[in-house]
Amino acid sequence: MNGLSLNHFLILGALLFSVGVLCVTLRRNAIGVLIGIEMMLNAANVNLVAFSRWHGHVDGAVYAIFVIMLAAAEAAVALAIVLNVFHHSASVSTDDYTEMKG
Amino acid sequence: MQTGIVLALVICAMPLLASLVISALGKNAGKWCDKVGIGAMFVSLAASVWLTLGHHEFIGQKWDFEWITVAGHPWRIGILLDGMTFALLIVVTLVSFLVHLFSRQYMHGDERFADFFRWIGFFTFSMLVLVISDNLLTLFVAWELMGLSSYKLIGHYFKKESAYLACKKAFMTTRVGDVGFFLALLALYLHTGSLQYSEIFEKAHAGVIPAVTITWISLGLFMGSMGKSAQFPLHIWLPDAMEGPTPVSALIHAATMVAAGVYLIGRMMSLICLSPVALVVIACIGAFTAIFAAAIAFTATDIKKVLAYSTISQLGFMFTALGVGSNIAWQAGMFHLVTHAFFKACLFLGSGSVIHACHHEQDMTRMGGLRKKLPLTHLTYLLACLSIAGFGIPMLPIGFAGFFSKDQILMGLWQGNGGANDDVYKTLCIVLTLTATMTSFYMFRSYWLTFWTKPRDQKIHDHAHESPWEMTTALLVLGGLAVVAGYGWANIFLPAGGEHGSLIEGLKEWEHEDVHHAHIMASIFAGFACFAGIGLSAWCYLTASGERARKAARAAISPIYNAAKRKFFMDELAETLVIRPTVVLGALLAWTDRDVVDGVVDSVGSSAVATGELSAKADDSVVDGAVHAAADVAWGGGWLFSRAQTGRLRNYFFGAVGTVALFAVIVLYLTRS
Repeated sequence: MNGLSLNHFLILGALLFSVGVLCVTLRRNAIGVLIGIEMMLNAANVNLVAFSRWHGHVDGAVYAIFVIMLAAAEAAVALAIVLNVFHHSASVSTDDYTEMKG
Repeated sequence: MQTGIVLALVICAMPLLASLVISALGKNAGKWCDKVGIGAMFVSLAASVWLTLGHHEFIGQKWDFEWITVAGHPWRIGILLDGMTFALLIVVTLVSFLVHLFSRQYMHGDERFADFFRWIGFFTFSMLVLVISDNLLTLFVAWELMGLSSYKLIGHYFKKESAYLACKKAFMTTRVGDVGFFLALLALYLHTGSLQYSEIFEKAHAGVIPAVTITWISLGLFMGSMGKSAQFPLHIWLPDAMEGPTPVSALIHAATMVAAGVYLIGRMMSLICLSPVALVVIACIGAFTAIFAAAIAFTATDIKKVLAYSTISQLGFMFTALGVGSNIAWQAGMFHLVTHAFFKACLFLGSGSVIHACHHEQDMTRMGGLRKKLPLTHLTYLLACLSIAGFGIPMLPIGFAGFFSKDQILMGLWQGNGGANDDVYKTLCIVLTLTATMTSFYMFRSYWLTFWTKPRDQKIHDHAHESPWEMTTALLVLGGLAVVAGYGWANIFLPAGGEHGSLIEGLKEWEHEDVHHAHIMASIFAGFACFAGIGLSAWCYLTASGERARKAARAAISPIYNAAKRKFFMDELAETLVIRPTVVLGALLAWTDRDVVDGVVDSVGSSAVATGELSAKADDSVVDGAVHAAADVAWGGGWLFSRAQTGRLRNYFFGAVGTVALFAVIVLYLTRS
């Protein structure tokens, strides 16, 4: 396949996931965190589709569809939460959300 | 309940009621107390007179009830109306009524007027309970109540130091005698299981009590009487008790309270006569007291002190008579108790009237010539003096009250009791004859010095005035009784053998003809005593030659005279022999208590405290320390872990991802092929 192998996709997924993790951990903006989460979900999708192709089954692709659907629902819920938190604390910086401090 | 018993209860209750009402009146008491007191005593006296007039019907009535049960033994207390009770009831109510009447004027204006009436009411109540009770238990209670009331009355002027010392002395001295009395009661109860007269006498005559014990019991009872009736050596309180108001002296120290001791011995005669030793001891102490007190009375210049010593002396007469243990002597002793009550009350009230007239001057050396100023007081004082001197016609039944009783005392002594001690009694008869001579001498000495001779203090003489009618009425009634109280009643109320029966069982019973010889001797003795005493004192105090002779005689016996003047050092003796050692013993006991007993107790206490402190420290440091340490560890741990809760989402996320990564690394490492 034009020199592309399974490993390339896995490396892409791992890189994408790492970027997502870094995005979630380092970004202070709550929207940025959500984007990081989307990136991690899509990294998982890349893996699912790659393995699906590699095995010759469609099961993985079907899971990817599920994940996309899940991501959409999650984005809706998460954005609603962020909106409420913004109303509550007048900030979208996660550093200001310290209510859980022990 | 029989009429007699009801009357007796009324007689007793009235003075108590008066006393309570006066207490309840509070601030108004000053205005009403005299009326309440006199009214109550009048009812009491009326009931008493009714009782006496109806004696045929009432005598011998009794009533008792079960008071309490102690340890399965029922205590019965009640009332017994016999001749002795009748005689004492009429004496006490009459004298008390007259004293109430007299005090209304005498105590007028006193700041503690109401207190005075409250306590003489209470005192009268106590004495009445004492004479109607049929057992030694209530008698003892009344006896002590009387001690209390006399304490309050003697200390009436308690702001004066001498008065409060006197009331304390009276209380403490009688208490010494009460110890013996109480021991005797315990012994009696131990042996007979009862304190009722009838039961005691029955068991004593049945031989339940050993002879030696009877002697000890009798002496114990006599010890109580010695305190109450002021017999040597417990007589020291009575002269000092003259610190009380004069009507109190008349009521307590002549007619009633000191009579309680004589009454006790007379009442218990049935028991005491079983012990010849006790009898002779009683007679000897009585006779010694009689002559001893008479000697002191010679030297007294305070009119009340003369009467006080004369009282002690006359009580000695009574005890000497009771100590014979024969029917006539017993009757004589009780008889003299009654006649003495009348003439001595009259004398005391008479002296009160004189003192009142002289504006509270009591010293006879500053009086004199008062007979014109105080005609009624003078008359009654003379009658009472004649009565105490035993004035009458020897061998014939005509004379003053004291003539009969004193005559009979001497007769009883001369006759003896037919036992081994008759010589002793004959000797005592001579002693008492001498004492009777002294009695008539010193009584007339007080009479001459007060009412005759030249006024020695013109100012007092000028201001003297006869007392108001309440006082003179009381004096006239008592003066009249001092004359006639010797007639006709003794064999009815104090029956002692023969056709009248006997009140006391177990006495030596002399028949009328047995005593004929003794009667002649006694008449000679008593007649001599009376006339010699009166004549001698008239010569000594009314004539110039007599006065020279008197002064010469006084100089000749000056050591004895001075000793008598100082009461034969009895107070000093009591101070050195009894009071000081008691105080030292008390100090010693206090020291033992404080330093030894308390020391032990204190050290036990302080060691407990020390142990407690140690234990508290262990508790604080070890137990609490462990608990605290556990708590600190938990707290510190909690603090440490709470540090992880930063509240920052990124940290949590990083933690979660980091952990997953860590586990992933571990899993990879473990599953490496």
